[in-house]
Amino acid sequence: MNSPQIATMPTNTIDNQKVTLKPIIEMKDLTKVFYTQEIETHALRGVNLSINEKDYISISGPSGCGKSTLLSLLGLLDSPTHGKYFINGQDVSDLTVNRRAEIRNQHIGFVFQAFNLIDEISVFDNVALPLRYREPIMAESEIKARVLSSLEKVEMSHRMGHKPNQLSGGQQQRIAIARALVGEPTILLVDEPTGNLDSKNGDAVMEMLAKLNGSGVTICMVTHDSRYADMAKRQLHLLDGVIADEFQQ
Amino acid sequence: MKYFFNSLKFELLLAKSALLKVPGFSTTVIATLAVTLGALICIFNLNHVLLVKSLPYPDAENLVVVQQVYSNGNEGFSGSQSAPGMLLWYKSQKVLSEFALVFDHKQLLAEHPEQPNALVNFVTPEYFSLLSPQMHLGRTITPNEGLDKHQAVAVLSYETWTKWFKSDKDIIGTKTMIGHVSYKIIGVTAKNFITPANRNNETADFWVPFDYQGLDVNNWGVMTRALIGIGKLKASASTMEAESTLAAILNKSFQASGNAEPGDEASAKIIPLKELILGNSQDVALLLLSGVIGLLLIATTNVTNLFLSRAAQKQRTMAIQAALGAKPSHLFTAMFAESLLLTTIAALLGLLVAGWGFVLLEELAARQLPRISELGLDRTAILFTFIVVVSLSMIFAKLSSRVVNYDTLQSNLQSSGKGSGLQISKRIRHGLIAAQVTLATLLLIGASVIIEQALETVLHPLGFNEEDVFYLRVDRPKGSDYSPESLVEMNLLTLKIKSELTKLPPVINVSRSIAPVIFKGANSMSLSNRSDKRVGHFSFNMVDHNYFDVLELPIIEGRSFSEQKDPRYQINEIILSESLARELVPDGSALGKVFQIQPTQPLKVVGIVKDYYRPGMQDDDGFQRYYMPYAAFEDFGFDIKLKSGGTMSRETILPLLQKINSKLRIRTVVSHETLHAQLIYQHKLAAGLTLVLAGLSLLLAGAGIYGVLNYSTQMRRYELGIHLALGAKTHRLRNMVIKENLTPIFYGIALSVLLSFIIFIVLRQQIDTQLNVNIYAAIAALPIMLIIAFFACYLPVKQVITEDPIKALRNE
Repeated sequence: MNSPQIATMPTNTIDNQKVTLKPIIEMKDLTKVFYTQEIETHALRGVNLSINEKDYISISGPSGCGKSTLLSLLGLLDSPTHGKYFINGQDVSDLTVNRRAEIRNQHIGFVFQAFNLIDEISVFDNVALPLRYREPIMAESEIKARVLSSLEKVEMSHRMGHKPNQLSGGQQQRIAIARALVGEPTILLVDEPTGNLDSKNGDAVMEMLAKLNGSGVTICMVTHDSRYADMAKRQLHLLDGVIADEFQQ
Repeated sequence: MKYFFNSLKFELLLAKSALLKVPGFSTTVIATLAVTLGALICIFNLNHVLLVKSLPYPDAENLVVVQQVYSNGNEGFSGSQSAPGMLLWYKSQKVLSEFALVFDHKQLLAEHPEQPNALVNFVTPEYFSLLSPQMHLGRTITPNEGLDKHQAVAVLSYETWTKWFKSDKDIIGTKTMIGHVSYKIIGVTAKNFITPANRNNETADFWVPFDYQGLDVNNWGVMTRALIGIGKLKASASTMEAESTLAAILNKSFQASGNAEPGDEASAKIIPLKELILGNSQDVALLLLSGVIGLLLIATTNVTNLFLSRAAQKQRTMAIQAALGAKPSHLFTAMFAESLLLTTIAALLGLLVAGWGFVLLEELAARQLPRISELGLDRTAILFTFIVVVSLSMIFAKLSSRVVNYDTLQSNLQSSGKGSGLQISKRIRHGLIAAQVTLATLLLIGASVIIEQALETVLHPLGFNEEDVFYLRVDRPKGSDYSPESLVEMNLLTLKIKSELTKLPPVINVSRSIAPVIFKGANSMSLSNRSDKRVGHFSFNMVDHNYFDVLELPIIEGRSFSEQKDPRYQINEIILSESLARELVPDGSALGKVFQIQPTQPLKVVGIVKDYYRPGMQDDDGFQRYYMPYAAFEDFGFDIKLKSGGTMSRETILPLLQKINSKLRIRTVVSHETLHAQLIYQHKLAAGLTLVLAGLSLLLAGAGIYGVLNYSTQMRRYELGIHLALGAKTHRLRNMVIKENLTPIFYGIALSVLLSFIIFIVLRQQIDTQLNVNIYAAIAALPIMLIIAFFACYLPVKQVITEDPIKALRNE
């Protein structure tokens, strides 16, 4: 079994001096075990991970290696069994339900494989949803401005009156991205963004993500497609719940 | 909280469009709650009016009724008042700041074309100053028209003015004949004046001065329930002090009157006027309230099931919202918007249903329950509705929004529809089913007991023949009095009437009596033995020798009265009912024994007659009666036996009467069957209302159980499809599913039986009177519940196992 790799903090050079970038996300010795009646499943084993601002990370690996679990923990959709998790220096490992919801709302933008848009409401309202949960309450005018801006980034503002089930898969994924961006999160977590798309739409979505990263958005993406995994600047390979390899471009 | 109100508007708009997409769910919730809330609002309002709301008179909380209580040792009775006692209090008491006498009696409006019987209140002027009615026309009776002033003036109620006087605006100053007296009309009460109902829940048509009541105001022995004293205590006097003072005044005169026997004592009791008007309707009101609360609990359980199913359907959406940062309070707001919208629509419809309920209650129960005319959608009803709406909405929203597990959002997001993912947990499902069955069965058991007791009264054989027998009441002619000469004359007159009536073609036989054999109320008088020791106070009637033949009431020992050939001579005979004979002479026969009403008239027992049943009798003492030979009383009564299918009416009788004496007028002509129907009406009403409640409960419970089981069976379609694909026979699958689903139903029924038993034990200890429960009636409810529950289990699974297995596997 490979020993857990520690993803080292990257350095940069400014005026010929090495400067260590402070990570926006840090995971230390993170472990997740699923318990059923007779079986313990160790989905993650002592993972250490740091993510810096403007990083573009892909996480790949065989089925059942723990990559979706890792992304869920990153997105505070799940709780670790053991270990520490910091966002912008704040320990978020063991918070109340409400506090976790707040952090998810303010710091995390999640893009799901199945899009997870709400068919009963319009594109505009889908994208506005995270802002409606913000506290203090945002004014309607500000919500509108942000939503429009977000839709323009994904080139979907012309569809804001439509319902999600009136759009193609690629369009729905772009709306999902817009929703994830509208709250100006610390990090964008993307789970198999092309899993439900054909190659053409998949390429389009990946192009968009690259563009967003270029404009300064930090992205952490799970994908099983090696073509798309290679597009990220940092590539992590998971195997049996540990980071087996890391490559950096 | 700020988020809650700010976002509620947005969420309500979302809720509206979401609910339009699920019309089945929305309609079911609205329909279930509308009917239930309608019933609840109606009965709540009834309870509020009867039990909480003040009487609609100034300073109503201080209005009291003063009653005389007569006792001898441990035996005492109240309710009947003697006129001399009341007048004594009126003239000499000083503990009440105001005191009014009220005597009510039906009188004929002889000059009116329909000759209706009007209820007349004979009052002293203080009645109007105590109740302060607004007047539509004219004025009320003033002190100048009070006691001993003999001013024949009359005030009408608004309803009487519109019903019998065609809303004549020029009515003030005109005269009308009420009974034998011509009164000048001086006023009409306002439409909104709520007339206090009497002991029979009847309201007055006229008010006239007390001088004209016609009671024997010097006779302490004549007691009547129709006479009451209403007043207001002085601030300086407590109730106990007032009772003591009034008792002293009353007892002194009672002892001096010569009517008091050794050990007799007269005292006073003061009760709130509200309590007198309420009577025993409190029990009915509370019973109805507990019934609709049971209904509400069943309906709430049903709707909770529906909301949980809805939440299960929305679980993925709510998980997405949670993933985007929605807190539990945000999800609560979203579900609250849906539940608020639905319960508000249901409540608005419920208010309509309640409105109809008020009309129905007024139509059916005006004679059974007091203050029915005050029912309506007032502020209290609206506020109550608002509280119920908000409370229910919060309960449904709270339960529904908890479906998202914030600790496992990822698995919530990944849930699919193939039977995995969220369902209502088995424990919750079974709990809800058991709760519904428990409540419905409890209601059914209670309903079957009430219906059984009501039917027992309705179907109880009377013990005499009521078919083709009419009762005729004729007013005593104007100008007659109670002197011995006049009494003889009246007796002769009644004999003449009897003779003429017998000659009519449809008539077989006629007997005189002072009261119908069954009617609401009773004439009663004390009976003493030969040593002048009172043996008790019993119902009585004064009847002709052929009375028992007319009614086919068997004489089981001895004979009937001797025929009265000469009304100048009294017949000193008495006939006892078999129960009274047993009571008075437990060892041996009562025949030949002598009793008396007054020492100057010993009465020999010449016959024992079979008991008969009067509907509504509280206990077996109601069978104890005695009969005396007829003597013309206040007015004249005749029991007329007709040929089969024969009928009697005013039109046929009046000409005959007026040929005998032009001053004779008919008070009533009514068949005994009608009298019987009037007496059992309230029991039929109770049975009917209970049946409706029970039916609704069954419907709701059945629909609710079906809904939950249908949902959970649908969730298991995939699993059942696999069983079928592997070769399982349909009957095995059916039995498996039904067996699982019947388990909570059996628990529910067992729990309801246990609770019924506990309630019965507790009630037996709390209630004074004996509580008789027919165990068979109670048990009859159980098979009904089982049958309904069985079909609720069977129908959903039948649908799944009879279709092609591939449909279930594909979840089509």
